[in-house]
Amino acid sequence: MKYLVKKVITLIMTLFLVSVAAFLAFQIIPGDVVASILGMEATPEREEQLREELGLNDPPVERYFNWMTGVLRGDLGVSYRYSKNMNEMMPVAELIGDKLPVTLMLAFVSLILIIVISIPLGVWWAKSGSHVLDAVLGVATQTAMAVPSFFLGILVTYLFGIVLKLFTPGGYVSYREDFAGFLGYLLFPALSVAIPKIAMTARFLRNSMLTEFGSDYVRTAYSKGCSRRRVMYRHVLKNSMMPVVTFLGMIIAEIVAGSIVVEQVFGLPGIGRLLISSINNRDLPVVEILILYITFVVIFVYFLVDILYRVIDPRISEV
Amino acid sequence: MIKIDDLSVAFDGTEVVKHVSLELRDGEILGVVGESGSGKSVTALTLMGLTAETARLTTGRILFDDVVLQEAGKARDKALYREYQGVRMSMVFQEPMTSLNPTQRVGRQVEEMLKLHTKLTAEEIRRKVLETFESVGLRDVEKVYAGYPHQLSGGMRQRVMIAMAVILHPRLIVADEPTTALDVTVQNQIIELLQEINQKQNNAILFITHDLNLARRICHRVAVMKDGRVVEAGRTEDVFSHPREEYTRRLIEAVPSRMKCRRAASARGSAEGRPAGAQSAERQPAGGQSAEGQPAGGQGAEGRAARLERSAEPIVRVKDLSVFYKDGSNSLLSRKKKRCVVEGASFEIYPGESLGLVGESGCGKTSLSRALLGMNRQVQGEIMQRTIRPQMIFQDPYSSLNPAKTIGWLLQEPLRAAGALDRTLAMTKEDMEAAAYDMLHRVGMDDRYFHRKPSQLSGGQRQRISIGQALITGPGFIIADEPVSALDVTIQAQIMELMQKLQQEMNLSYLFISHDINVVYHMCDRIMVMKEGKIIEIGETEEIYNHPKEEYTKLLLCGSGG
Repeated sequence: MKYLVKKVITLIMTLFLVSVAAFLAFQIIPGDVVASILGMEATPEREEQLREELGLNDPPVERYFNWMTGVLRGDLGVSYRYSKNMNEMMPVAELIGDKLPVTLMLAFVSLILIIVISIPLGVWWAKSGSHVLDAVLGVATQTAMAVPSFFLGILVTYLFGIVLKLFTPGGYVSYREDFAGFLGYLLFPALSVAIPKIAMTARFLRNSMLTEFGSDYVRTAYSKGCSRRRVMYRHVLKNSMMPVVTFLGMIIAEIVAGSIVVEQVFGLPGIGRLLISSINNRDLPVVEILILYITFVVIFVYFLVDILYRVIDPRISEV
Repeated sequence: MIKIDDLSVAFDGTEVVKHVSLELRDGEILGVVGESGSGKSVTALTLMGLTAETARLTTGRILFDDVVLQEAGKARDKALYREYQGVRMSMVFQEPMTSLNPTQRVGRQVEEMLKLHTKLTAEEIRRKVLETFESVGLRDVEKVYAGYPHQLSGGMRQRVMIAMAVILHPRLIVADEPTTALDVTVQNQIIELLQEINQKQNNAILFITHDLNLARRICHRVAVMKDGRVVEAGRTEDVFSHPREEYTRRLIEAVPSRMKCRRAASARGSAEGRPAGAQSAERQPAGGQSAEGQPAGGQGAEGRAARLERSAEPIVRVKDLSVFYKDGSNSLLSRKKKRCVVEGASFEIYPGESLGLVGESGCGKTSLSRALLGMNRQVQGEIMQRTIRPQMIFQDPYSSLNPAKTIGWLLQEPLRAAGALDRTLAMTKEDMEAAAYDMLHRVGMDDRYFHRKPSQLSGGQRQRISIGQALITGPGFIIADEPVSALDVTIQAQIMELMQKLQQEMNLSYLFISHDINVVYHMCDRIMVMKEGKIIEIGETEEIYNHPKEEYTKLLLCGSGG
């Protein structure tokens, strides 16, 4: 319990510091938001009017405070760039709320692929002991890790979209219309995200298991008359999961924060694309909220990993 | 029952066990003694079928009741071995800390034996495990059963290992240094437990150890191994009292045994009654003799006699020293609790004196020495030192030397550090190099080693370098934390001899920390016994040995089995 309280306080403090930093950074970066919003239509009067409207004339501390209280009340502000219709500005919450499920589902499908494929692959690899397999998997995983993700995306598009015609490249089905179709569509981007991570995780698990095989407790298990198979699944697997869990945590944090390149290649309307366009457009309210979101996700996933550690390894003190 | 016949084992073409033949009958304890690298562990692991895939039998075979378990030229039959492992032969390993699976409950790990080899129901299995736990002297068996290995002490873990080994009443138990990693008092209990099991269940024990005293105490027969060969084997008493081989004799002599020291002490005892003047005259030559580097053995008691000049001012005086540690992690929420690890320690160390510090792990020995070095600032009380920064010799010569640097660099490092701290002590490069060469000679090594890396040195040589490092800044006071416990007996003797020689040459004072009471006896003028952070007894070595006041000291003394 005490542990939980500690973790939550750390989370809050980190978010606070990041929010200050995000806010400050965009005060310092040159470029006038108002001029950029109005573009060609800018006149000094309209600029002044918009400034007042957006509260940009208030002193920074007050503006930070207003923004923060808004965020805490669930009002994330409005986008400078997008508008709902001619008269209404687009709330950031709505903007992100629309894109978030895409990214989350992409992350989820990728993660399932990673876990379902990499763990059996790693175990099988560690178990085989065949030199041929070692060499083949070694080269294969090395290649998968090294290929840049945009290129992998193009390859997947080509293979599954153009040659096998399993999906329409460039097409997209919204989750609002057809959830099954949406999932089916996500499978291929998720594959592009997952392939390098599968290679890394499988290598990691294999190395970890081979290291564990040299441990004293493994010798003890053999001395009891355990078969290699039993030693593998009953003793070694759990102990070698520790580094893998750390690694998976890092991967999850990375893909939940948005796979910018893959979203771009497959034309997915996710968080990653939104982030890029918002930064280009100086759509600061959106960027700031996205920064907070990513920070939160990373810390939260690490928190989950920490809990998982405690489940796997009793030596780490109980929650 | 067990017959190892002309066994040779090779790893990648190098033979580490050469033509070893051993026999073991039911109910017999056979000791295999030897120094590290003598092939004793490999022999045991081969017998158990636990060597790595890369190990090959080049000659010979292993028989269990006339069934061939392994034979040269044939791959190990794993399925056959699994019928024997656990059921008919089981093993207790050296490291109870790492030999149990850290992420599995202890009960389940012992149960696995029964699940693998019997058809008992879950309830029967559980009962049997609890019974066995009780029979090996574990208390709170339910708690142990449900606990994880890290929640148990080293001794308890070793009992669990033994419970696991005996639960199916195997006819052979292989015990590979089962007590080496344990504290002396616990060592004693584990040995008694093994003896008891041997007598009750009449199973044979193959007992592997480097500790000759221990082998002498419990084994019916012993085999001495060296460089992969059995050099001598026979009934324990025959081997120890009439060793036929030169090597066996050397091994026995190298052990700092109390019995031998006693003899020396009683020889000296006749001088004790004379007037003080005559006494010191009597002692002078004895001291000179040991300085010349007489072979290691019983000279400890004589050698120390010359050094006792208690009239001088103490070089270190510790008064009412308490050492604390901050408990818990760094946290803003919980206030740091101070834990007292050393409580009210007071003692003095005189120039040229060796003060022994004994006690079991966790008693505060290391904390005390760290406080003396100034490495722990959480202290209360007074430390007065009449010397420059004391230096330390560490236990593990393998990990305490930076592997990336040359020996010459390592020897100069303390000088550089001293120069950086205090400008007036800074030396020129040439001077430092000369000092390093000089020190290399003093610790008994030649110029060739100057440009080598620690990895090219043996354990004993590394420990010589550690000693050189400690001495090079010329401190009068050295703390030696278990300086010989990671070394083989013959090397131990050499290092102790070197330390005594240097002590005489440079008039050094040692605080000599050790768990091995025989080593302390050999090295020290006075002994200090610590228990749970307190110094419970301090006095002349002979006094402590012959008339220990505290019950705990007696326990420590008899635990060492000299």
